[in-house]
Amino acid sequence: MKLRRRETVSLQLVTALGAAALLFPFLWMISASLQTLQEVEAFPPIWIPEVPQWTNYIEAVVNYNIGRALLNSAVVTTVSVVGQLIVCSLGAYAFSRLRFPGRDAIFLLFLATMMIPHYVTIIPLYTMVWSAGLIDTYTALIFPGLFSPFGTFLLRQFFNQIPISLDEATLIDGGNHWHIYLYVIMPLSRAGLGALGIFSFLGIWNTLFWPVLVINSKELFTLPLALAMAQGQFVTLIHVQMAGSVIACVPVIVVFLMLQKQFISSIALSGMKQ
Amino acid sequence: MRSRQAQVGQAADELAAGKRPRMSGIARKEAIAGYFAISPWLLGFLIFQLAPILAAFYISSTEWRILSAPEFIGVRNFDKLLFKDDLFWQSIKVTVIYVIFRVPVSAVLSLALALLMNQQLAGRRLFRTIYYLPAVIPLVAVSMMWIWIFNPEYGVLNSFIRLFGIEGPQWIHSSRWALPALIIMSLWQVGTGIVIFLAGLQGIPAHLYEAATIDGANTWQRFLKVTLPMLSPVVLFALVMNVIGSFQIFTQAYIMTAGGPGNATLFLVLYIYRNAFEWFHMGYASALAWVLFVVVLVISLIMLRSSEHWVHYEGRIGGA
Repeated sequence: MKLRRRETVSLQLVTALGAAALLFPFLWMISASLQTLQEVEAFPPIWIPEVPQWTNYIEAVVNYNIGRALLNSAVVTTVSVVGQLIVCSLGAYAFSRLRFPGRDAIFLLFLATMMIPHYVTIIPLYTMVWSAGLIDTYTALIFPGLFSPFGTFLLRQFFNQIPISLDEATLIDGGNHWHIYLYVIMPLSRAGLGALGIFSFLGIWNTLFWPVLVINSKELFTLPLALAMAQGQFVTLIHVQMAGSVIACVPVIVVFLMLQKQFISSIALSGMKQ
Repeated sequence: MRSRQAQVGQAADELAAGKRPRMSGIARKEAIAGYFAISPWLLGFLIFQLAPILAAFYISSTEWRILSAPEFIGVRNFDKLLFKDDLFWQSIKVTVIYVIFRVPVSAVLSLALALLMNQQLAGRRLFRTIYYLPAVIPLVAVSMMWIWIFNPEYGVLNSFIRLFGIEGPQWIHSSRWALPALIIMSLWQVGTGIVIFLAGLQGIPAHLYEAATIDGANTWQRFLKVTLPMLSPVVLFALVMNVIGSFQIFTQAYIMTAGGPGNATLFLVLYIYRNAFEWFHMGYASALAWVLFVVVLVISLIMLRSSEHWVHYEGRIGGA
């Protein structure tokens, strides 16, 4: 669609205004994280603090135990994402490429369960973790998330697009199914693996519900949990809370800016799930 | 090579004789590889997905306070929630209002923004980044930020409204404004919708627009007759996904309002959470979770059914 000059200018303006409106809360959060409490509560609002209060960040790290929470989140997210990629890609490979008795029955059963929301299974899952004595462990945070049905489904769709003749060529050259998986399917599915990786990174890094259930002790708080608990505990310390929130956002924003293209395609691909 | 019929016949004979059908060496190797590759996922699926679903089904028919054994009570949980529990109906009401306002408004908003992004504007990539950013940051941080934006005394929102000489509402501290506040906040995260629509828009072939222009269509007509029909499958997809996601809202209410004031933001998932993990009514909470499933399923099916009338699929004559 070609547009006239005047239209282009006004559209440009609307876009810029919209962007400014979206950035506004962000800027306020960053600004508030560097103010004193008096400045935060001032009217009219102050946007540039007189002296940037970097100590708010130190206070957030100390009060909310953010350092430890950052470490916990990093460990849980990394292990979960890598584990999920391995487990799901193996499962997807079997569904997409290997024939064995019962395969289609399993796949049907699996499709039938995909519509059922997480909140239906979370009560039995919780009681399972609880009676196994796994409350307050990394295992409880990581294990149930490794076997993502959605991830297996997404990767299977991806693998199905890879020509089967490549498998046959590998077999003729004396390779086995393991070689096909490792040297044909996986390298050709980087986009799909990347999409799933980013998708689960976001989901696991940001999730609150499951950590709230299975974690009690401060030492194992993930970032969202540490923030949520601090919110309840230090209700009035707006400036410190905003510093904590900024810290929680930084890793996601850095990864997002680095892998922006993959993020966008991951959403376009896997927008299938919230 | 033997005929297929003979093979089938032999297999049937073997089955009748209680023998397993024989596999060729290659097929057996493939099957072993298959079982091997699928076993980690399958084990996880059985333990963490299928078993919990079956268990949830049973639990929903029991009275279970977690420390004592579950006691079977048939459909009494469902009877209670349908006919005796005002809080359940409150949670349905609040959730449905949230979905009804949030889904269409955010669809229109993200479609409009996607159309903008699809133009040859300067700084497109930068704008795309900015629009998408709110959708990636942790919901907990987003919620904490908005608590203070909505603060009636020194929040930026009411400070802004005060510029016009009006005193803004109490937002999340008022039973009347808390739900609208959460809806407004949800519109801030339109990035996901924009990205999905943008991908759809970029898939519309340029020659359709050219043909429409030659036929004398103006911008608005091109939008109505080309863009919308071509985009309709994506719109349906985005709407269904948004409905499913919106029904499961939890974090914002948990952090910002704790379901209040006066249960004004007691969303269904928050009510499930309370029943299960604050009051330990595991059976009742499971019944509520199944209701969530059924509601979402029925609405999704209705939307898919209605799509026959408004979604245009390429290659079908007389669609749209």
